[in-house]
Amino acid sequence: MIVSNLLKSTTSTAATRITITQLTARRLYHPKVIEHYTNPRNVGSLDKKSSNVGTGIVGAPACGDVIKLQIQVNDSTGIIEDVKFKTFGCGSAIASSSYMTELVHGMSLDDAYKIKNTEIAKELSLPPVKLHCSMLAEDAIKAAIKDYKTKRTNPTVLH
Amino acid sequence: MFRSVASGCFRWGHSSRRMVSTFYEMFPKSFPGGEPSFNVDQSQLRKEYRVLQSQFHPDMVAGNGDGADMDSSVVNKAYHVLKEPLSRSQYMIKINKGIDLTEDGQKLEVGPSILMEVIEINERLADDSISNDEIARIKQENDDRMDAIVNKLRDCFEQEDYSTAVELTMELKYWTNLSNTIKNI
Repeated sequence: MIVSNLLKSTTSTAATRITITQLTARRLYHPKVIEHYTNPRNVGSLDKKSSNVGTGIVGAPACGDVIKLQIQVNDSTGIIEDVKFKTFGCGSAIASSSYMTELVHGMSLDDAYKIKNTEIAKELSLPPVKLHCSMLAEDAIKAAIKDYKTKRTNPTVLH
Repeated sequence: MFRSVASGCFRWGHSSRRMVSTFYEMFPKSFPGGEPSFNVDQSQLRKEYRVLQSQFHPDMVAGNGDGADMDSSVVNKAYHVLKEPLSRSQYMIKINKGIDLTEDGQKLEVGPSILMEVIEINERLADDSISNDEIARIKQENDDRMDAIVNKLRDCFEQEDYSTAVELTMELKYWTNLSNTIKNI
């Protein structure tokens, strides 16, 4: 009992510390970035082994941010029916991937492949130093589409 | 040896001026001849930094205040770049190969299996039900992994194998970020 209370109190102190750090960091961001960052859309994972799920994992070596973006595609229509992401990085990277999932949901693969990072950067009013975050989101959707297409051409043979 | 990455003109002592072309040249006791090296004696570097810092501290330099600020900040920057293995490695690569790994848009990437591992560990850490023991284990594994990379980097720079050094340095950036994430839990 005592131990569990102790653990709880440690956890809540850590949580407070993170919140304060995040609040300080948030002031530097545009309201649209903050909105996506505090309320990210479509966070989560899809079954990467599933034949109609494409997974894109990309990273930016300069800042060390990583994005995993997954799409679930309707095999007959080529429409993206579901999309999930997980991003570990700065607020702009999270907001960029969150907005990207909103954009591609219900879109055809061809249209999704054509999305340019500038579209995301414009929507989120990203400053020049954060443009690479939108590029990373563009790379992520392209990688997910490629992964899906590779799966379609070389279906896994079950023995 | 590339000498193109200038760290600027920097006032040496109180009266003389001296040009340095790399941060290494600012610490001749730690790096004899100002020769770039990945190996560093941390306590010697710290000692030399403190001496420099006292010479260049804005309070200690009479006259032109702007110049004093500049000198003091360059000394600080140089020390912090050379102190940490990640930034020291990035700097070695920058001055020897002209590749700036701290800049976006480099068409270089680490292997997908590394990124996958980074994602998986971050997912574990983001799980609210994670135990303190598991966090400690993840931290230990990450520290070991970073030590192993630093050891490999030492060999790479010795053998002037810059292409492997570039890969390892990019990988080290991801694990350094993970290390910061663990610290903030």
